[in-house]
Amino acid sequence: MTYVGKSIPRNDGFDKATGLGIFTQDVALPNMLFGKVLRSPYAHAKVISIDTSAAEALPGVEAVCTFENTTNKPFNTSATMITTNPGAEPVRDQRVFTGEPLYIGDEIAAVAAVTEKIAEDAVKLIKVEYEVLPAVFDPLEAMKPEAPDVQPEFGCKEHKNVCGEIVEFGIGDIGKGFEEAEVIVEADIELPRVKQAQMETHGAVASYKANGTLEVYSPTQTPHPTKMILAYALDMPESKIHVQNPPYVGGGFGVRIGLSGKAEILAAVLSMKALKPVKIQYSREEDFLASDTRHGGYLHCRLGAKKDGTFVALDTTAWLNTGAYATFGVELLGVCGACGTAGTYRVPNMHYKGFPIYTHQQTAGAFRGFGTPQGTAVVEAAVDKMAQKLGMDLLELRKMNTTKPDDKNWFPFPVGSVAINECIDKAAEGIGWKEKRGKAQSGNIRRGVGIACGTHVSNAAPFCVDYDAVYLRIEQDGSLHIGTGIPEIGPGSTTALIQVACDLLGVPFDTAVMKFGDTAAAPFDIGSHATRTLYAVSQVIRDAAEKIRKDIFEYAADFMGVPADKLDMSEGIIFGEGKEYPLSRLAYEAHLRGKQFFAAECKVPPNSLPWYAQAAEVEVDMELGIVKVIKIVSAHDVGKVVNPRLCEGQIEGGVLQGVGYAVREEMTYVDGKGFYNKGFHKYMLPTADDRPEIVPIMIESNDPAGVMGIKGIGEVGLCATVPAVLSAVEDATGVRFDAVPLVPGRVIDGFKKAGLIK
Amino acid sequence: MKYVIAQSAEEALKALKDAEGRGTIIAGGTDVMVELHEGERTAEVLVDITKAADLRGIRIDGKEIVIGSAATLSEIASDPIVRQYYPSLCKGTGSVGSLQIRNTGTLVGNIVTAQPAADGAMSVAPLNPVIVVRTFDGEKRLKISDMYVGFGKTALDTSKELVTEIRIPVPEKDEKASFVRLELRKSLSLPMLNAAAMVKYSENKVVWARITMGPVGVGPTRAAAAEEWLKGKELTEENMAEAGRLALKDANPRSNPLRGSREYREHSLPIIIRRVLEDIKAQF
Repeated sequence: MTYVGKSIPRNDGFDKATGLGIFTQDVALPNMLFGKVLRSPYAHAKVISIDTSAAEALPGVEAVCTFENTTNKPFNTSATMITTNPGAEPVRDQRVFTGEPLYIGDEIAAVAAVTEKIAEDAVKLIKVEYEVLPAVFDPLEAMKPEAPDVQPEFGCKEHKNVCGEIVEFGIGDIGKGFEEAEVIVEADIELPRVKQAQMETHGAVASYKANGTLEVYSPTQTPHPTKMILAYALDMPESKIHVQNPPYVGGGFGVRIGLSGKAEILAAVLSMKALKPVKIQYSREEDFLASDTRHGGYLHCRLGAKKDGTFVALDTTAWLNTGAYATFGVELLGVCGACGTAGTYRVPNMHYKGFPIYTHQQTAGAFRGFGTPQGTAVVEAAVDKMAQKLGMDLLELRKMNTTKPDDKNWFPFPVGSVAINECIDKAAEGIGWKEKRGKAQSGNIRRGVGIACGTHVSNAAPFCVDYDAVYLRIEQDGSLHIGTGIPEIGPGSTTALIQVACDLLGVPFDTAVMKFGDTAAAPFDIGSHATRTLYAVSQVIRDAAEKIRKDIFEYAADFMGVPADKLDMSEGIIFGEGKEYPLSRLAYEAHLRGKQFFAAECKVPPNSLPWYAQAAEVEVDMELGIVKVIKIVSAHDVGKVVNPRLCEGQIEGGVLQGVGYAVREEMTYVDGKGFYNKGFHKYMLPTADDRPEIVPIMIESNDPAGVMGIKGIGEVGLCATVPAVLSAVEDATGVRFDAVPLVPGRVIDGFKKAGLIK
Repeated sequence: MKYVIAQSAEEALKALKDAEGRGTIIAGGTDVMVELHEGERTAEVLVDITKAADLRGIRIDGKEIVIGSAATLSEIASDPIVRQYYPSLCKGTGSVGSLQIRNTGTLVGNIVTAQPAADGAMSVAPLNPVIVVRTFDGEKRLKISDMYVGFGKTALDTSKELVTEIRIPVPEKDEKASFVRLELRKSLSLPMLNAAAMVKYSENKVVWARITMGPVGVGPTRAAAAEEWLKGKELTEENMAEAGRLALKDANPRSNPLRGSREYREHSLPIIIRRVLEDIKAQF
């Protein structure tokens, strides 16, 4: 392989380093208006009356849209709306605007005006009279019979405030499993709501013309699904809607799998009314308080084992706070159970039950890991407890129970290559496990190490509709052009895919380009989510590359006088039987004769399980309760490394997000006022100065289902950080915390409860 | 809006006078610009003092260290004179905001915005600084305690008055200072608590101590009971811990959804104060 395995500089590097790259906020169209949104100040209320006359009368205002004059067709802002497998129905519980707001921040109305300032002033002129209604904020409270119904129209009819359905599955016989168990432990964990905090806030420019076409620029992670959601919600033909990234996207982390907040549809309805382009750019406050977060909530896990440590039964329940609207609620509870509890260990009797619960808070949806960090946190806590109860080494207990390559586990596809035990060994070695773990300490500053491991997916198929189409063409000078519907949300997927494509085809990287983030660039692709982009799109590129090579060799056979089946190509040179012919020349000869080499392919990719283990070292100030993460060694079975630097970058970014989740980040709800976290100053995202030493380790297990052995890496950097840090803190202090983040107040309370301090 | 780049203190004052109350001084602008943007402050004339030669720089003048009002936090944090006499001031000024903010923000600005836990202001507070203010009529010299009239409220009228410099006495050999910050993260965040102190320690006895802490009141708050109690005492572990406990007498911390509950702050303050004193003791 010429390119795969090399740290080639990213294809978007020049644009981004020079500031020449275009993002949604850079897009400006002629006659463009600016949109601003009126949001509910109440967690649950009914609008008694709304008067927009003063706003409409303000000079410069060109459109005012409210729940009264805008389509009220229910839809779902997330991609799940168009990717739910046949037989199941997506939850459609959102409207563009609402007259009965269900959280502080819910959209009531919006204004488009010639300047942002006028739009802002006009929003303030809208008079709304509300009747405040009772609200519920905690998922367990919301399940009680006396709690107010959050979604009486769309909620699950059988279970109080459950969104969609209760997710339940398993293998074996869980009752029998616990009967066979000789040792049983239980673990609980309470997890916070945290925010993606992607660099670019939600936004969109939508331009609707009187001829019925809609042009949309936005940072969506899924241009094609976004087009389909808009077409459905606005009752327009999909052919008349064009969605594109401009082409760059300032981060995703799952927050815009589907619409970017609600920006596309808000801008679209304003544009349809004004018949001018409308731009909506969320403020950081709106982004924080009125777009999807990670699911917080409660999990409980029961683990049964034989005396020798063999796991025989694992039963987990999750009650997660989905908030006011479903978006990905049901799917996320599924992944929490599948990847978070059913994948890592060989357990013959496994059961999981997940409750996605409606509350009157902002919606929780997709965020890097998508349920896996939650499930992993509680299962790994139970495994640590089991090791203590059995008096076994944490590493040995894990290694003897992890999934093995020939296992058949719950997943409906082969387990594939499995290097999880190697990940555990490498992570432990990197952190200095043998020398550091279990060291008795006194004094105020104490150190400890901990470990956790897990899996995820490399794709969402077959759990939802998830497929890719690409279009490859050889330009008339022999250079490669790849068209895809995927976006580049930052990880370098498009660079890595060009590397793979060039090696599969045998053409030079320097002249290869990819057109991405555009529904017009290629047929359907679900987009960037589920750790899939490199893994899944390389599958379909392989098919198209095979097709195009066959075409090239058949055409070259005549020019070269060598049979097609004797030809091969490398670096753009076709060769065979001692002869060579440049592709550049062949492409032009073909052009002169009215032919271009191209291929379009479409397929559902397979799936592979990426494995990982993370070891953490922490330092704890016992008096003040300050937990500092000093080092994380993150070992990953990535199947095959395509671009080492990009792969390390994915791991490092994920780890830092995981560290924030474990020790600092939390959205805090203040009664009557809503979430306190209106921006970065009020949300303790770690800064570059807070970064611990991060050691990324990549292990190549060559997955049989992956192209060249590739598996996914995208989300997994943060999936084990919470339990690894909790384990390390336990090692340092003797106290096992069952809630994060480990902010000083919580740590001191824990020490008090444990009798360590008065 | 008019933007005046003053080349001297004189020019700045003239520009303020010409603005007739509708002007304000701007140095680094790290707060002024944010407040203007958020609509929390209005001004028709901004008088920029960053190019005024007589307001810049750090120097020794006799027995005093003089810090110009246009000296940036980064300049102070890395200044060899400050580093020699008051490493704690380097630490405090080096803790404000982020590197980018420190590269443009000033220590005087950090005092004038009057936040109770401002790291720069906290670290300078126990050093007995004199704040030199020029008005249309002349000059006045204020103590740090004169600078605050409420939460986030400065005593200074920046439409009429201009801080020209801060004068800090050069410490005697038996005088040492320190600064400690209890933080949730290293940058871009106010601390949960911070404290600073300066102690004159002679023949193993505290001659005097000045201890300031925040956010436990208006501006950097003096731990008067602890200061008084320490007089004449040796800095033993026990005595420093007792001083920490006594600091609570002058502290009224509030709960913050992010930066700690009142309960946690009351738990931590005595420890922070003890550590400030320990740090001082370690310097002797």
